Amino acid sequence: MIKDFQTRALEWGNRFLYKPASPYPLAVCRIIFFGWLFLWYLGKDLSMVSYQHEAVWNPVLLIRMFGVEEIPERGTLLPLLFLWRGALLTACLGFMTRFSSLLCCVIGAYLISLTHSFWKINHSDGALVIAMGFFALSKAGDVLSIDSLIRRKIGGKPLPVRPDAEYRWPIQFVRVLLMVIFFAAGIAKLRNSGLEWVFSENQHTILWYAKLTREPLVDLNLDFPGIGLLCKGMALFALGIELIAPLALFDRRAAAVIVSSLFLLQTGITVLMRDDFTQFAVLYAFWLPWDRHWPANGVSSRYSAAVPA
Amino acid sequence: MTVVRKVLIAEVLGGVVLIHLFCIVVGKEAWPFSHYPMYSWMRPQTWEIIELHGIPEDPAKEEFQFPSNAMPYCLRRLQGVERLVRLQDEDPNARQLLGATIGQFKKSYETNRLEKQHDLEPISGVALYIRHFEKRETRYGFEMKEVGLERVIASQ
Repeated sequence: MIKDFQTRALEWGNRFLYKPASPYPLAVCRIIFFGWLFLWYLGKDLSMVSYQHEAVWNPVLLIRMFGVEEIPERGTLLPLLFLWRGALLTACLGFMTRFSSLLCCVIGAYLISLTHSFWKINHSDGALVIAMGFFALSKAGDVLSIDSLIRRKIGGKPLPVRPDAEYRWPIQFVRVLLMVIFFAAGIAKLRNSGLEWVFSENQHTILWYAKLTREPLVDLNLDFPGIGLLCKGMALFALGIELIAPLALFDRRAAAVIVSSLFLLQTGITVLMRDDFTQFAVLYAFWLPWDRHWPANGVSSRYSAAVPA
Repeated sequence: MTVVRKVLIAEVLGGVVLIHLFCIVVGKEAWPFSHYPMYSWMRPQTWEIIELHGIPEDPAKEEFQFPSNAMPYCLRRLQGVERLVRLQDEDPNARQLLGATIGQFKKSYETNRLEKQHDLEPISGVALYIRHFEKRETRYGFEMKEVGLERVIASQ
């Protein structure tokens, strides 16, 4: 029985990660992911961390691993910032895709972790750096990229458009990552506050806090009949959906419900509490059903005419 | 795809999940891995909110609270400053460091102004305030009411 379970689990894992897929969904995710982050970080001058005073310097583990002991000068950070933005753009366009993704991951890890080294860690960008690392290991630049154009025009090599496991696992990695994050958030609530997090006035208080300190996009009236019950309902929805998030990995219909609920939850947080998840939101692109437009079994015949014999 | 590469990839994914699980179990941050504790603690019944106000160069003008566009993205969270405010009672150096720390915000404000990131007026210093709120019962529940604004320190 245990052996049977092991065999089935291995088969499931193999299908989940390595079932051959079209290269196009991964390429589209690459373009959206790096393009979104390029635009998002274009207006954010991360080099301004050098204006922090050393009295509030509290480097995160990664910064200590980089061997950085003092707040870097802005003059050191600015060239890195420009290089990083350039790498985000070239990764989006698919130019030297793996190298660009690697640069994005390493420089991004350094620059972003610096911003967390002042007694406050934001939770909206760690997953992005990890996803950049996944791209650096992947073959996301095989199609819809400058690399593929160069290979075709100069190298004379055929376009690699055959379905392959290489085009599936990076998307699955990001999906797993996203669900682990939400599950962790659910566990943290239970661990730190228990069910009181749902069945007390906590959610109502959180909304008051946002209203008075963050100028939410929608200025809600927080004093009307039934507001307490409504807030408890919102808290129950948030905790419930976070705890069942991993189920989205096992069933397509469950995924549709869970992922849209999580997106709704984060949109609600952005609108009502002005907590910015907009850069993180790009990870939802990996959950869109791209394979319906580019099914694995339709790729070879569809593009075979473009492939030189 | 070779078996070796498949195993390697599975190990990378396993590693990422395991580090996250480790963070969840021990309840610690190891950025970019985390146990994602945002909003997980119960909110207190009274709040003290840290605010930075600009002191205009023109003495005839009133101090103003920094709008978010006047603060660089990576300096908006003031937890480090908040920590120094709390340390003031225990550490005699904390107040001096606090003054120096908020002085840095003046520099970043002026740098951003000169780089045309915002078009607010020049400032001669930054003042640190704490805004106090308290919970008050209402007909349908409660509201958070501001009960005071305290000026803690100013940098020049």
